[in-house]
Amino acid sequence: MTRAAGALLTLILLVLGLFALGLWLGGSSLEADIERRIVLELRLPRVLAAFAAGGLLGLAGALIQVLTRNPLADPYILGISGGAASGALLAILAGLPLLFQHLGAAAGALTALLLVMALAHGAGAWTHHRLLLTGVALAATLGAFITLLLALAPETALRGMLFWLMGDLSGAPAPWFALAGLTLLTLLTLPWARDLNILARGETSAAALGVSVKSLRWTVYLLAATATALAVITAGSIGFVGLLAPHLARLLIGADHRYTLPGAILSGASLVMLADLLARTLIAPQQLPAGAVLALIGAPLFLILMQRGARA
Amino acid sequence: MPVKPEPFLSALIASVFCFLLLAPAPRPLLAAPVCASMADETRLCLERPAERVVSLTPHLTEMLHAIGAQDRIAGVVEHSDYPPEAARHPLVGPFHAPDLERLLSLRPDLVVSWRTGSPAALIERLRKLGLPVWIARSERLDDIPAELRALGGLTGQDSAAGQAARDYESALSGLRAEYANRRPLRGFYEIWAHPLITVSDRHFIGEAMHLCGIENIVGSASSATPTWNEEAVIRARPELLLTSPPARDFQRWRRWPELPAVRNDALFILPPDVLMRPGPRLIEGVRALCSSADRARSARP
Repeated sequence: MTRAAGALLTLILLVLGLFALGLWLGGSSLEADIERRIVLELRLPRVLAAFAAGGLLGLAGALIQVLTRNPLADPYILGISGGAASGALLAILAGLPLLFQHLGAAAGALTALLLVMALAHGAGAWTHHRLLLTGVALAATLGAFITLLLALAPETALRGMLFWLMGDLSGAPAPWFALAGLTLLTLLTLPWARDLNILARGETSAAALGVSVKSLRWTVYLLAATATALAVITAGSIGFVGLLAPHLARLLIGADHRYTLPGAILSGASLVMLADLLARTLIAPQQLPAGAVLALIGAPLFLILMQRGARA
Repeated sequence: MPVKPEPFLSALIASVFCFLLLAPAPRPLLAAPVCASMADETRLCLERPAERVVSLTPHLTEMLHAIGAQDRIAGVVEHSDYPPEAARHPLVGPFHAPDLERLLSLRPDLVVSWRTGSPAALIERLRKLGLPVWIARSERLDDIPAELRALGGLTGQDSAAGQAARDYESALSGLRAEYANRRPLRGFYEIWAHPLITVSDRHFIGEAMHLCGIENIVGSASSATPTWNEEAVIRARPELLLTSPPARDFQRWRRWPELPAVRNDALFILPPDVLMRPGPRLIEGVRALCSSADRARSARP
């Protein structure tokens, strides 16, 4: 397990480096006083929010890919982010202050989560197809609703809405909530890592090996949904990281979830931190949406790593 | 069952057509072709002044009213709410996506549109259908009187349009002269808070700020309405912070007492619409902007 430990250590150093850069970069020319406030009140919350949102999406992505046993799955297929987006965009359209945008996202995410649970629970067995298909159908419906909102939105609100949808950390709320959520969810998830390893091999063998598949599914679904909701409330529906981070972790570390889960969290965190750093500094003082930057750097990075992984 | 055309009737129709094609100026003597230049430097000519105009932006509706052409308006887009009686005109849908069918059903003989605002695909479509479309630029303060005159020409309201244009021009040059030598102030105009969207010198609000003696801390960015970094605003130490309704979260700047604008209470929410719409009332917006700058100046220690 030295390879896993080495990779995890590298990722931790990467996160710390990005953390320092995130606080450092962006120019400093004024009196120390105001500069200190800029670092503490503008950059620090933003870097922490990027860390938390990225970590949460990495975790959610890793869980969802085990749950679906599908490497193409990303946390947004659960329908949670669609609910959050609908709530946030409605708040933007109604012209409510930023706080309500976050509250709207939270309410939307919670509603979507409860809807999926209620609809998937109904009569009949709790098969995993049913749970996921309910999420997918809800996500599709909400996607159509979001398109409708965008089509009806006035010009001025449109850019705010698009930035939210692409993922943007300039309006991120105080990151403490997301950070606490990330810590808690990580602690709750890690004890299940062994069971996840077994589940990843297939349900029948998991059941044969004494894993309570049904309750594990439940737990994993709830953990992933909560992580997704917290991430999206913090940073908007920042795309691609939930799909990419687990794969990066698997390429770097391997398939043992005791190491892959922390790896996915750290990869996700460093991806979003890097993307936001670039979004904020590339054409400063103009700003880019972090989500667009992330996909631009993330996808080629993934392809390169996959090539190298195939050769090794 | 097909109806066989009466030979005599066909001949009559044919000869009428021939007459229409060959006869010089079959219209009343008063009607002569009218022309106006457009945003793309081309000219639009109509055989006679338009009588059924559809306006695709609120500010062009305001212009048509200002030149006395309100009776020639056949339809407008949503939010055409000034002057108040403009709300009576039939609607063709929202400004960013007018409804083509409803527009055509109003049988317009002229559609007036805005280069930066009206959907280009729709304009293309209307032109393919043979409808004359006039495109306004409406990007600089000086575009407005020129466009008032152009619309006056196209609607046969030359003298009223000339008057409206002269009123605007004299008010603007009055303001220019009045504010030419004021103490310069560093200012920032916020269109939207999250993400932070502002105006650069390329925008007519940026031009108006310059006129009022406000130095825009954004300068000439690559876009007229760039997305900006909050840090950069704080670091530039603005003496004046401006916005227009809805002014969502605008008071958050007060968390930064280091900014001269906050210390001097120079955060101003300007009146709605007049500064954002490049129509004849823009002059009122500029005046409000300039007087807010004056208030900031008098507050400055």
